Amino acid sequence: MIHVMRMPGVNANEDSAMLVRWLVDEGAAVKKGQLVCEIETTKSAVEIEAEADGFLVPIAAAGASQQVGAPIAVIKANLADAHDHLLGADGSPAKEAEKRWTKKAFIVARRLGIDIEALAKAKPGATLTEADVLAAQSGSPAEAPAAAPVKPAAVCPVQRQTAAPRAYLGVGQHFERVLLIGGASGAGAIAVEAILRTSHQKPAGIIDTNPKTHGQIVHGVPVLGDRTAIPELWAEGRFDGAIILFTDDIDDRAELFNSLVSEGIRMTNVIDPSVSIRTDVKMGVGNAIMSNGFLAHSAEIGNNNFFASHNVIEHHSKVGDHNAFGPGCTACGRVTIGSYIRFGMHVGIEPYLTIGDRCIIASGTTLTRSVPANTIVKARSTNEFRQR
Amino acid sequence: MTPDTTPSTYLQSLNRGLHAAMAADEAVHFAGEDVLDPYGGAFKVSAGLSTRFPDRVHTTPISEGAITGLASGMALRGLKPVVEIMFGDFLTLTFDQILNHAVKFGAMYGTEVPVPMVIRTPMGGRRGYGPTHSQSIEKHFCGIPGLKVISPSHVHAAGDLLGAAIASETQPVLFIEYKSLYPLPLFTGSELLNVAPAPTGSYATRIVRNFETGEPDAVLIGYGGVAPLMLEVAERLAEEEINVSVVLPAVISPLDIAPIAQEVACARRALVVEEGVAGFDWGAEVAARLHETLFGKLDRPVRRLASKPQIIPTSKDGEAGTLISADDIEAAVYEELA
Amino acid sequence: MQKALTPRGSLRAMYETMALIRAVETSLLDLFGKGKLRGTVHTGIGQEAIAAGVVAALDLDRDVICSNHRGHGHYLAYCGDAKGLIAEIMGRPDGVCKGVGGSQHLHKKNFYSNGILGGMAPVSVGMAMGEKTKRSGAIVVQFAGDGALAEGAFYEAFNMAALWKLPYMLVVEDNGYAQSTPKALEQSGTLADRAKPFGIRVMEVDGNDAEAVHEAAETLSDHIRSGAGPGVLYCSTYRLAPHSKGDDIRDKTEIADAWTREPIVRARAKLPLEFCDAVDQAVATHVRDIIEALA
Repeated sequence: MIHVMRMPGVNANEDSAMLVRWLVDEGAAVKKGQLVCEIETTKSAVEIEAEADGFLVPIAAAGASQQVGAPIAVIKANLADAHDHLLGADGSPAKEAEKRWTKKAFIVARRLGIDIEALAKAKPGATLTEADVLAAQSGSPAEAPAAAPVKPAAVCPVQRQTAAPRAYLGVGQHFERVLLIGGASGAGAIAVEAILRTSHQKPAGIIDTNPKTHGQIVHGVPVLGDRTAIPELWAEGRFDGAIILFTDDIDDRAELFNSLVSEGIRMTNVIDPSVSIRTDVKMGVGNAIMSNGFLAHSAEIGNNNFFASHNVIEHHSKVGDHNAFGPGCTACGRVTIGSYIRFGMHVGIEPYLTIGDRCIIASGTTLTRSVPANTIVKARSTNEFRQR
Repeated sequence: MTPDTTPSTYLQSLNRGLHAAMAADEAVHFAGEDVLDPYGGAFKVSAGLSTRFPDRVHTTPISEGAITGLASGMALRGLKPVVEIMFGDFLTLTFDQILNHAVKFGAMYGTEVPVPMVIRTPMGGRRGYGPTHSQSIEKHFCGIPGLKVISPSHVHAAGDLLGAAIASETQPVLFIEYKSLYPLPLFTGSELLNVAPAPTGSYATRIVRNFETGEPDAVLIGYGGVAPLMLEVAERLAEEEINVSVVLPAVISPLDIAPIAQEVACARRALVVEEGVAGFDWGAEVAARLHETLFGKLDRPVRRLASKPQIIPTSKDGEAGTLISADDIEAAVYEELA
Repeated sequence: MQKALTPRGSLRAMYETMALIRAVETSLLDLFGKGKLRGTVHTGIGQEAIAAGVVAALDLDRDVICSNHRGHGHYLAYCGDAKGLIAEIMGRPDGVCKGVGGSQHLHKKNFYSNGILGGMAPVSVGMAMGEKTKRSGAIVVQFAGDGALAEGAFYEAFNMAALWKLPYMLVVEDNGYAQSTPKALEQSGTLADRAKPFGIRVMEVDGNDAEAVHEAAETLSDHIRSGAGPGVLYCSTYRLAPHSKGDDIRDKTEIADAWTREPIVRARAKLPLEFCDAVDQAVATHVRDIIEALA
């Protein structure tokens, strides 16, 4: 039996490596695992182990560069066996090494900790692809050998920072194109940024009532016209979903939302990637949730709500439709919030309370009892100072 | 003007763009050194212009600074001058006229004064012209308020871009052409590469992908003369199952990061390539803007690739060893993916 | 200010222009001392005859003026807009350039200035190219000091202007100093001859004599307007005030002597005293009213 040792691929960037020196003499008896030679790439020097027991006959000369995959030695059970038929016509290592895997297959194998050499040996003559490596990982194809983990040092330490489901990420036209309504004002900037920071949406354009902005580029996004332009833009397929960003007129916001929905125009949610959404959260459409929001377990959000940054909707709390939340509002557990409500900033709501429809809650208020519908809750300083 | 769809080289496209712009508007004048027929300019971009428009094509003395000032003056008095600087390296002589004159008139008088002028120049190496005729020095002109720097690749309809800059811009434009692109046919796709449908607008950033479905493993960003290198790398990588998107902005300053960021958001790994020398380079701006836009969304820092920060030797090996190459780009992609 | 009834180009009209320039610039130095101005001011006190004489010879409906860092006089001779100028130098939004340009960057109709020395020469030549192309009959007049003639841009510009016979006139205001450096320390040869090898017509004149300046400017502008090519009007004068505020190191007796030969003294000697006093009184009131309104 004759075993052919080939130049291993040490890193993905280099197709060849230098054989620095042989550590054993020609014809020496070697044991599998014994160090037999030293190779060097521009990045590292590596000692190579004998891949079988037997007598080693070097093929590649020390001091020469060899293609990855080129034969460098044979290990024979019987030193007298001929091995020329395993090499190139002139007896030297084949110049053009046979391609044994794609670079992508190599990279994926390293990431997954799969020994691609072992895979290649099990599939002689084939060029391994990424699919072969992935199949080896799941272990499904019968012909693939069990994936042998390589030494930890060989595994690339850089891992993906996020566990985002890549299948949801789009390319080019696969982005969800979002039309921002009322976006030329301040809320537009944070919404555009939120969209750009996601991996699945991109801004399609801005709708604004101010004719001076039409045709301009605001926050890097073109302003396409006023709201009368929306049906045409939808008919032309210029966007995939719309979001309303103005909050100054809640009734107008609600009316516009309802009319867009009745015209069959799709509303979408814009959620900054820093928002943390936990299990069993339910949500309608048309909601904008800006940075660092938190929706706890079983929270329910209706439609067409605008949440500025740092809003917390705790577990089992319910939010109706067409509400506007200033920055930093917190609804503690099992709170019920109606619809058409304006919250200032830093409004706190104690657990189990109910806020009726069409209320206005001033900034800095901490609600300790439920609020009936159509109520304005004024802020009152509750700071009391006493000597210690 | 209707876009010119006749198949042509980058050079022919620019020449047609100039002819069309001059035919469309009597206010367009063309000035530069050695631009008269039959010579038709050092690189023949202006061939035929002086025969067709003898009164509006001016061959000038070797005075790059003064002809740039000349253009400002003509623009201030209602003409639309186009100036050719024979080699991009000579832009140094125009710097005062651009920075302290051309871009100032538009803004320093309290109301916008139109200064519609285009300075076009061939840039870059790979032709053995040596240290002072092979450079890519446009980075020194990027970031000047009021100056638009445009450098189309051969994936863009270069002549249409030039025509649009001449016809529509009301403030100075520096139009960088790459000598190495002149003989290349405009690229519309190949067996392995597809050009994404162009968004509207002549200046739109073009995207070439080496995959039909799925997502990019890495994004290559560059402009002008590095485009063919990036496309070659994309073809090589296709055979290695590595998906790359080549993103080619035409307007390199001021920079619209949005179309670049959208593509990079998918790949999470990006490399910026330029032919200019490394350090304080265009890629630094792109990288910074990408990190600002996609902070926390990248798997690796944006990688900058540029030519070595040294003079460009005349010898073939010396030049090749200095300028950024397809092999450099390919190796860097593997490193970023490893 | 009430429109003068004196015929344009007469000594009386030029005296009115010079008196206005002098009054405005004197006030500017006063305002600077009070900290009311932004940046610095370069005044042309003592050089008023050149602005008044040259501009009176131009066709203000079409001719173009390119001025420099010391351009208040040129501007006032061109349009008389003292209020817009003073407000501009105060950095106010009601200034002629909304406070953006300031003293050195003025623009109104066909008047443009820039504080970079020499750089406006090719720009002026380009403007002349534009006017020639349009067959407007306009000429482009650039003002520059003796110090600026050390800039190379002039010689590229002279070459092109003469080569293409462009309607370009350079008015050199030789006040003997480049900022603080006397001419002898920085210019070789004869400055007035600089443009001659290009085949450009040069006229030399006493820049403190408004009538002489005006007459020469008329002759030269007629020559240029006829299509005969560019010209240089070389005017000798003296700057009585510092380069900018408070940086004068020149010999005191030299300055005192210059005050006896300055343009306004020269003009007053030829005009009725009552006329001159009345003009002085009127411009003083006009400028004081403007400054009070801007205060």
